[in-house]
Amino acid sequence: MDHNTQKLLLAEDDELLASLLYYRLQKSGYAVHMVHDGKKVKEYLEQTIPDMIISDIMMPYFSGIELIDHVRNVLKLDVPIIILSSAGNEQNVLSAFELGANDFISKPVSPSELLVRVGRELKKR
Amino acid sequence: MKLETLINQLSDLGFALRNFSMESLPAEEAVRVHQLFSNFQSEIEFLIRSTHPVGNSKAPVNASESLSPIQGNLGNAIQSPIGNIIGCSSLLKESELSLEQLEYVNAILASSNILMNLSREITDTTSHHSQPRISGKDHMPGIPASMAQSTQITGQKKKFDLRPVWEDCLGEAMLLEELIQLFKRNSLEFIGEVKIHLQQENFEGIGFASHKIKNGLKMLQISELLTIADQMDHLSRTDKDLKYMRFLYDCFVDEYPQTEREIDLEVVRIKNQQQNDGS
Repeated sequence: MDHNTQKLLLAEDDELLASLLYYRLQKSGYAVHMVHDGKKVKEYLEQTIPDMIISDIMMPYFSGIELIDHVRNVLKLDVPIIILSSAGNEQNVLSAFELGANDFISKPVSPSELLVRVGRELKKR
Repeated sequence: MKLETLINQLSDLGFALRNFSMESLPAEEAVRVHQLFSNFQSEIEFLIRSTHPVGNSKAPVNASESLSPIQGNLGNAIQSPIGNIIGCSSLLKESELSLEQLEYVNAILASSNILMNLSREITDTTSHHSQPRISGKDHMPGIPASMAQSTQITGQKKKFDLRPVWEDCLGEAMLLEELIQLFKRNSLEFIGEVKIHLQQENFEGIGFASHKIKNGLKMLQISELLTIADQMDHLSRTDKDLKYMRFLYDCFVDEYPQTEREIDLEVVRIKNQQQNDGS
């Protein structure tokens, strides 16, 4: 598979999970930019518009919910957003969908499932 | 096997203590600490070897055959000085230390806790106690049975399953090792963070730290530590029972070094198996 022009922004503060997802996404041919906190997400989005954002909900400085709000209502971007969420965060997931998230995956995240969902969302574009 | 582990742990502890004292104490004190520890190590090794001569692999027919007057006192002989090391190291940890010094003290504490647990396990085996023991702690009223079981020292039961994450790594041993390193770092951060949060009674902080470590524990399927982190996360949002949380924290700190060691062995095993399959 080669998705070499498709840029993904991966925002996840758990470096363990982030490293695994980064590896699998890169291995599948995506150009992945990985950050571990919300502040870095904002900085990256000021310079680059990715083809997709994959973000955790609970992040330092700037939560996933705030990120969706920022992307949809401040930057006015239509990029697909996939949310990673732990069990028990249902309320946050609903808020994320209300604000414009496209999909969500419950933790622990299966990299294979994520790849399928990423491919599906990008195909819709 | 247990005795070999005990001796190995003792050497690890000696190594950590030596590094720490040479870097952090005046030469005279460092030598004194080294001598004290060497004496302590020799005494323990003498006690162990006198009760279990090297090469005597024949297992006793029953537990009573393995009892001797020395063994009867083995627990106290070993546990008292280890208790002193743990106590002094804990006091040392409270003082102002550099990051490096803190790492040494943590290593001393971790090794001492393992030594204490192993020593208790040995004395348990030689006596007729068949009841499960909570590592380093007395059983606490109200603790769920699953928790008591999770902190029980079995040394037999596998506490984690690396296969799913190994499959997710697509057989990349380097990635697996990197993930394990990250997990170790996260765990040590968790231990440090929660200690401070407990001191400050910062339940939100405890909840956040527990929530964060849970993801890694789920990924590596480390069931026992996950149960502890789950309970801490839950308590931080509900009862906020500080005493119980401290107990859970101590369980985590007790349990972690042994889990880490077993994970390291498992990674070596996986890598060896991979090399054998490849050759």
